[in-house]
Amino acid sequence: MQLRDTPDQQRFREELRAWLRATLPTLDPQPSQDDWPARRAHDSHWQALLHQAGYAGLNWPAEYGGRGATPTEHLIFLEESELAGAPYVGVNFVGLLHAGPTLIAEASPEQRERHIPAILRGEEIWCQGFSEPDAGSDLAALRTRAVREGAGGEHYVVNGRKTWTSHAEVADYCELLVRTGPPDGPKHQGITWLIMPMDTPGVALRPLMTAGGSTEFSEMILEDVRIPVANRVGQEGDGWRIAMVTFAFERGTGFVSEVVWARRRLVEIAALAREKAAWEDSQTRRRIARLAAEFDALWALVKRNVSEAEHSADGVPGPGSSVFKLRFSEARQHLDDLHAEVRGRDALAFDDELCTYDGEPGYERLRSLAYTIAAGTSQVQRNIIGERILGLPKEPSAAKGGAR
Amino acid sequence: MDFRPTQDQLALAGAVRDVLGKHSAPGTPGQKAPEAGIGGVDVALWRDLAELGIFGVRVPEAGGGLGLGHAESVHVFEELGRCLATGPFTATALAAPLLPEYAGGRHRVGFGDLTGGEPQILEHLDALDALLVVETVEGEAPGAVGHTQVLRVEPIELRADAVPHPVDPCVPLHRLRQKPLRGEIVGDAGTADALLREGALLTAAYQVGIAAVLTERAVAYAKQRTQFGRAIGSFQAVKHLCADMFARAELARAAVHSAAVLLDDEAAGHDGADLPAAAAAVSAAKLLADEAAVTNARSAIQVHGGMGCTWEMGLHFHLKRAWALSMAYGRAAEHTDLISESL
Repeated sequence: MQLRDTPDQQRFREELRAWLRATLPTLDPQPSQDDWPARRAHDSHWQALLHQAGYAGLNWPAEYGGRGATPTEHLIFLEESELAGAPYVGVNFVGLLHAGPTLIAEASPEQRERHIPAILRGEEIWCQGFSEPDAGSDLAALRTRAVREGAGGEHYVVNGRKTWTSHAEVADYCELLVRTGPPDGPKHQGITWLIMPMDTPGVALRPLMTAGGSTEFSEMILEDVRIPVANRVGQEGDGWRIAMVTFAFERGTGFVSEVVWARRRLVEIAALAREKAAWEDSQTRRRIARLAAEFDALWALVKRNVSEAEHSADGVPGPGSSVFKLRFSEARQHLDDLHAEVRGRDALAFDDELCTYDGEPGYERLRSLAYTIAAGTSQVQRNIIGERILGLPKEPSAAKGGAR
Repeated sequence: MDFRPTQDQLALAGAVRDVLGKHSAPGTPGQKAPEAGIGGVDVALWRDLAELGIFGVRVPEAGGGLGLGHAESVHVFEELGRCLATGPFTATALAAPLLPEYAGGRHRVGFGDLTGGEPQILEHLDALDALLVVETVEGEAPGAVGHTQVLRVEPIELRADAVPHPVDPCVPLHRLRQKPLRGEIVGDAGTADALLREGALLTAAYQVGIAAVLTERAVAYAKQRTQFGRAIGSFQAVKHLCADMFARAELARAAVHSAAVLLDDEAAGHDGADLPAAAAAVSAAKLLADEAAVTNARSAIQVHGGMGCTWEMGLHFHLKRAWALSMAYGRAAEHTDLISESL
């Protein structure tokens, strides 16, 4: 049981630090959250720089253009990038964290060849078409229909409605879950995973404005969208299993940088509290300290999870990631509330017109509303812990019932 | 980095668990109400654990110990917590690296922190061979700042009254009615700080054991107990209580293991520039472990329903011990203040 870098890890960390020190000053400032073309350009440029330096697809296998780094090196990368103030993965989120790993695990050689190198170079942006207005936590209840058409059945014709489609405005492709089985069949069967080019006729977007005023998400309306059967990943009807592969990756590493961010933000809050004399209030001071303990423990839990993933057969993060997701989301919301409390009435006055830039405390506080909801609600995480880890019986109704 | 427990650490924990399994543990279901004076040290258990070497974990091999670190100690103490092992385990394990005659576990050493202003309650006084006391000595000139030191006191010479009904029926208490104490100075302020910090770490590990075993008991009961025609663990209201118990114990264990490793690294003189300070990490561990043990005890009782409140179900033993330990080696307010100094 130890936390220190091995000599190899230390070398990796030092090289990365030196590269970040040299590279970050050459970047333009982060564009406004609502300027989507500028965001795409900014994030793609960063991804291209990572690719040139050999840091793209860090934990992906070398045979698919990744670096084949260990989970611990991946953790070091996320930690150092955050400490250095490097850009987030941004609009490359779905490509690098969802679609890419899924394509590596499940796609055909032609599909991999077509997409994986482009994702790694930052040339191809992906979005996610999973959730629907009536299929959120109960994702398997999705109803977007795909029907085979054409002389040899060479197209799926897709009709339906997707929601929470992050980065849809700038995406080239969508990882799309559709129902190919009968609407009243067993809901976990009959789901299929498709690669949908976003410029296909019949795809319409309606931006959803969040409580913070950003247009991070969209609703996506699909009307008679024709998708070649060759764009199917895996077998028809096997999409649920394939989607689950994606989720395991998301819960494992999706929030790691944010723990580092949150811990630094807490030090800023402590400094602000000292400045504003809120530090003299023992209740405020102790709440800040209690939260520091929570984030330090979460960081330790990340290291435990990563160490276990490094030595597991498949490298997929273990069930400890649900504990992490549950506690981190709640701690993150406490952090933003505490920040507002220390700022006092200043927290009611936004300095930016739309209040939508990363790090602005008012925006972060509103954005954090989604933390206990996105990527599996806290209630779903508790079900996962209760059922998959502790072996408690399922709710009787969850096992049966059709797609409707 | 490899933060997983090593095979040797797991083997040590397994050996301690085996020994504990051969003795009856407080809090197991079906226990009768204790008669007066039933609590105190289980001498046979103490002897068996001493033979295993648990008091000399951090004593060098040349001094008759195992020559290991905090990372191993916390594994031992989590096992003690799982079985509510009763006796001055923490204080004796703290005294052993300081005073090597205690490494073999032939003596029982107690601990008292007299730096605070509150009335002093001492545990297991009648069973002790020695008592280590942390105290602040007044400065000689009026208004001079005092200094903290560690004193070894002969328990038999102390004037103290037995508490008729300790909340935790297993741990006999005495109220000290003597000040100042006479004894031999065995450490300075630095020693006192180290004792308090290491005591907080071992206590936190013990609390993790309580939190973990209570999760297991609540889950087992939720699977077996049926109401409304199905196992109560299938209801989300109960399932989510259990999930939160698990999350609390896991997070607290990660904090305890991290603090143990950081303390060992600090002692070995490793550069810790990238790592949080060990002292703050110990305080974080104690905070989270106290919360986990106390809250999980309440949740376990809740999952067991009315039976959870009975003597014979035994869960009250865990709650009472968790309460007592949350006041040992620094309480929440003291540890949060300590963390806040590092921010």
